[in-house]
Amino acid sequence: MNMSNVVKRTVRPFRALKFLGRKPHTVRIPHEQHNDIEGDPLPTERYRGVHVNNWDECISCGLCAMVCPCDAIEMVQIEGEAKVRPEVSYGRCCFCGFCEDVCPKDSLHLTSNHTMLDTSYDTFVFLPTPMLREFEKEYRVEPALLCRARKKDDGKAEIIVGDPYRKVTE
Amino acid sequence: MVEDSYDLTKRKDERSGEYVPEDIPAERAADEVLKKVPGAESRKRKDGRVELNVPSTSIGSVMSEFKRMGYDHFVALTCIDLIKEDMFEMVYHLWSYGARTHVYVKTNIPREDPSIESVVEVFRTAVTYEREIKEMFGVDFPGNQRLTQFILEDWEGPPPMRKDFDSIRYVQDKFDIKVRNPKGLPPKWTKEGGK
Amino acid sequence: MMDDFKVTEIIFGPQHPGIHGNFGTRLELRGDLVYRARMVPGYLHRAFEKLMEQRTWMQNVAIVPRICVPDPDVNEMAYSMAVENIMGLEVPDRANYIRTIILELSRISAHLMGLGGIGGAIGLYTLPMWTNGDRDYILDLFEELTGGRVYHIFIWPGGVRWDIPDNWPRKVNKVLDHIEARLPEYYSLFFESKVTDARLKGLARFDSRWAVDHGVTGPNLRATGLEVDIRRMEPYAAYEDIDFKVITRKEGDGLARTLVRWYEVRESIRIIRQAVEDMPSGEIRAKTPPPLAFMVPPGDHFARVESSKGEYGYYVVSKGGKFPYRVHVRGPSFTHGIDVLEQILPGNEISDVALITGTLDVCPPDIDR
Repeated sequence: MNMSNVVKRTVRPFRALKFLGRKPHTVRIPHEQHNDIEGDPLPTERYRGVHVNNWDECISCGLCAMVCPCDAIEMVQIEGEAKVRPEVSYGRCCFCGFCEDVCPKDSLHLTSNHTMLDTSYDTFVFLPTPMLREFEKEYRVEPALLCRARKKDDGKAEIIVGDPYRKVTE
Repeated sequence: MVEDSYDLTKRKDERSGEYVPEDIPAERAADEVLKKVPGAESRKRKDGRVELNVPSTSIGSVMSEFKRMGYDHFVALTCIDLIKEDMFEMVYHLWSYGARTHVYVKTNIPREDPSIESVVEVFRTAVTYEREIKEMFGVDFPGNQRLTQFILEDWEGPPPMRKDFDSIRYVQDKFDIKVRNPKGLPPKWTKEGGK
Repeated sequence: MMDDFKVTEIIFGPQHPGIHGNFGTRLELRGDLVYRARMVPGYLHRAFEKLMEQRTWMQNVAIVPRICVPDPDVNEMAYSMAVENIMGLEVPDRANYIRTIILELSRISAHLMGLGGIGGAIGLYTLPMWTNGDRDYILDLFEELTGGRVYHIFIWPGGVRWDIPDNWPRKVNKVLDHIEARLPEYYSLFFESKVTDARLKGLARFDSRWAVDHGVTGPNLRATGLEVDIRRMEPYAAYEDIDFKVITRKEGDGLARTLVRWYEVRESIRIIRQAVEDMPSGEIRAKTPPPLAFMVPPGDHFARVESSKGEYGYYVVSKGGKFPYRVHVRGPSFTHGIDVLEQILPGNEISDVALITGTLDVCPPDIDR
């Protein structure tokens, strides 16, 4: 038995004590903000999250529905509106972003919002609307804000603002 | 760890030996094969690689000849369903570590009762590829003892990768799936299932 | 001697903490030793090859990364290379360098995950905790470039999708500095331990002749002594202009395969630093037809890429038209995970089954597709 080897193997594990001085690696989202290695906040502008659609610019061409590889977009007629609008189903969407790239008027956009919570399936088949875009500009740092549109039984669209499960902090 | 005295040690001896790559360019190897196998033809493709077309009965001798020439890495075996010409096209991909070139060996078999001789004796790697093609396309490989069920479990229908198996029709009949955008689908979609 | 032991037959997996992915094994045991093994794949079958025949050429790029989870960019790269070759497209230089950086970052993150899997199979759970934590910085980098953490959908026929942001090269260098500082810590944790030596030395040894005869590729083949790497044999992207070493070891056992992966992480860091420094300016996409009218002339091509697990190949057949006629995906685990495992498992103890699967880095999604 090599004595110097035995001494080395006994003493070396104590080098692990230096890890007591390091900051933990865990980021407790959403209580803490998730940053990258230089401290910039994540997710960034490019993140492919929840859809928004600007109804003033959208010309109802239907290209987004044709290019979707997962058959997730359907052009629906809403009562009171002249044009058909895209409706997205999040059971199928793979968040590839082709619908945003192909849109000729740049009205369909994927935001950096990635949270959406509800207890019923029907919320996840929804009409992207312009309301979320304004909220995103103002409350950009708060990642848990939820705002969605829902189609009621009579065909009209209803916009629901604010997250019933988490408060927006000042 | 395992002692050397088990009766499986003879398999351990088969695993020994150093590999020496051989550098024979593809055109020369193809010419050697053409000399030995009648009915074969070769051509040089647009991307610089060599492609051979051989009759399906001589596939065993073609494979052993290529292996002798140093093309002994069996990359893949692809089956293409040419439904309009009523045949299956089998494409064998071979690679040589010495010459650093890729060779395609193509052969055709009839679509009715398809079967081709297995190349497992020459290239052991082909055993799983043939098993998968038997399951997905229905081609038989006499000589391969491991043609058991591979990926599909409890499947009673026709081989699913063939072109006459309509997977959209199958999904509509079995499940209740709504088609949201029928314009994005292939043209042979019928009106019954979708909107 | 094995006939004196009791015969048991068990099914190992598909839900087991030691198995990577959903992959079952039917083992016949005599006592503690494996007498025969039969693999049970098929839990992750999603019929990609049939799906790809019913979507246009550009829509397939959104489907294709989902075939391999730890290393998704090789799928996009091999598919794009095959389509570009059939169409005769020339990819600009800047796009080639960006593709190289993405592929190497993906290789580092897949190797870190693979090393963690081997550590977990031994029982050293510190190693997967550390490597998955460091892999998170790489996923943050991907998110800033491509918009998605795991599935990027960024490399498509013609080039890449968007240009890199201005502060991204600086962040890449910072993350690489961090990982390079951590690598000696992994070495002293894992490779300087007697437990690792006892478990991995001499485990499932095979030589290069046997390996080539049975279709073994990638780091597993380089651990037997052969110096083969697709990045050298058939260069693609920007690898011709970058200077790097091909890592080999001589022994061919489990410890050699793990060491090859550790050294390859260091080599990939060097490649990325060179690519970031030498990045040329210019276009990022070649001229391609619009996505809904994308037609490819008739032809076929087999494109191969060196992934972190082995040789990844795509054979694309086009008969002219909107949809591909046939796409065949050749994954490296198709040969490693079925036939090679069935031949080297007999004679080993049952506690080594997950470990041998981990050292070969078997990824079940590219068996089933």
